[in-house]
Amino acid sequence: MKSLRMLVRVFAESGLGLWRSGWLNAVIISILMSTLIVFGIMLEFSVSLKKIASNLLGSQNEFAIYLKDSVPPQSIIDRLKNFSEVVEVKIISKEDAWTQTKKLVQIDFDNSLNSMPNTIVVKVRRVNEAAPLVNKIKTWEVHEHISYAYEYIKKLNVIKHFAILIGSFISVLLAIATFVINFNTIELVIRARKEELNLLRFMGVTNWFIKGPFVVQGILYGLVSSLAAGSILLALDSFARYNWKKVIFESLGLIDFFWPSSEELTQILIILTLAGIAFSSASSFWATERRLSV
Amino acid sequence: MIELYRVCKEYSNGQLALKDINLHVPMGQMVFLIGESGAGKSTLLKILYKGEEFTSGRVLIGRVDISRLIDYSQLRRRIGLIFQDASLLPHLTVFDNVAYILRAQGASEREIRYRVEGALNVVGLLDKAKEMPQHLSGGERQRVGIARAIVTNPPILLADEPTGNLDPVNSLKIFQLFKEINEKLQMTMVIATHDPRVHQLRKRIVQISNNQITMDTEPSNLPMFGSLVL
Repeated sequence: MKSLRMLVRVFAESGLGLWRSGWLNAVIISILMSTLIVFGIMLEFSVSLKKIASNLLGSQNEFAIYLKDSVPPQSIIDRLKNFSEVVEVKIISKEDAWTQTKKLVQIDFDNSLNSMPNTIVVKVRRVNEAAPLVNKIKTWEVHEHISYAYEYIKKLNVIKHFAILIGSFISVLLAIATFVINFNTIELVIRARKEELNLLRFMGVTNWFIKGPFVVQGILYGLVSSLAAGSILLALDSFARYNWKKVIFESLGLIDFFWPSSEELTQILIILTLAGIAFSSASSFWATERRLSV
Repeated sequence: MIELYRVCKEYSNGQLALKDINLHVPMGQMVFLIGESGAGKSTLLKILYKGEEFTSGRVLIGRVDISRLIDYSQLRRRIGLIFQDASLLPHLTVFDNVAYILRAQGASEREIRYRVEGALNVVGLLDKAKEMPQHLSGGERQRVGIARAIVTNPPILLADEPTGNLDPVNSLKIFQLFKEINEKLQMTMVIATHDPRVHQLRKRIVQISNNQITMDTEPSNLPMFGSLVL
């Protein structure tokens, strides 16, 4: 009962401390919020980059064989089935390919104009098994063309890793910024109330009753800032989603290719809130440990 | 009981603040530390509540060697402190200023009300409980400081120049209040002051000059000051 009463009083002291800080709270929360918004945008950007790379790289263990007109697809399928590394073989007939093309360009061409080849899409178990098999099939001389962009995939992989690296670097940088801002704020508040805190020490007020309110104050700064940053990000995302995305991506048939999904956005907001609270509480705890020797 | 044995205090720049201080204050006694500014009165008080460390010697409070303490708050909770400027928290009412330490110690609201009203009653400020410190006179602020110091009923009360900012009339009232508290509550009191009129209270007086005790007079040895006795 006594512990609970003390806990409630520590929170009450924090509330009083916030009230006494007045407009300084708005300034601190604005700075923290701006930092967290940048942090959130970077996270979204990083997720988008990874998504593009993943979408493009999703087919890196697949390749397509465009057959010569004289070659019956079934005979190639039978031959491919003899390779243990082949896990899936799919045929797109020249008629299906023609129908899809007409649909894409939205022009009803005459079927006599169909120049599409029969296509076999081959999926292998591992990425490194694709290139040797492609080379082997090339010796069969049954193809007009084999689509397998090995160099392109390699470059995309580099971009993906680079995006993750940049994202991590920026995240660390912004985490440090959040930490430093909050640390300095709490330190300023402690310095401003130095005499008062000395008085409390001499009155025999316990260590955690003096330090606790500052730590809670830091946590509240982090919580409010991250929730505000999250709300602004959500609003920005909704605005962009219903305006730019519709115009740019839907018309190009690139829906969900680039934009983070609702689940991903929720994850970003949760990370943002947790990071805001974690860094703020850690920094305020550190500030009280360093500046308040009771 | 407060006991100091050959206590010395020297600052890092080599300046001596206290030299070979031997002092015994029995339980319930009221002692005035007198001496000019810079003599070492405040330093001696600070040593008692661990506001400053001493360089050598021994200090016992209630038979506990305070140099061995790790958690100072245990010691400080047994001491009521009164400062020259009262040092009230400006954002709290008189009641909340006095109640602060009780709240920090986890006392119930009922106990807080009972104790705070009792302490304010002792200093005669019960009717000012809801006032803010800035609306009080200097004498009243000091009384609130005294109420805050006695609210936990500590066995020891230390006061550092409690009348330093007050006019002669209010100073006498404050000294009279200390005397009443000492007699009613039997608190051990050490009061640092440079007010010469403390002789009139007929209490023990310890004089510090040049960082040493130069005089220690028991009440029976003090001369009477006739009509000025409080």
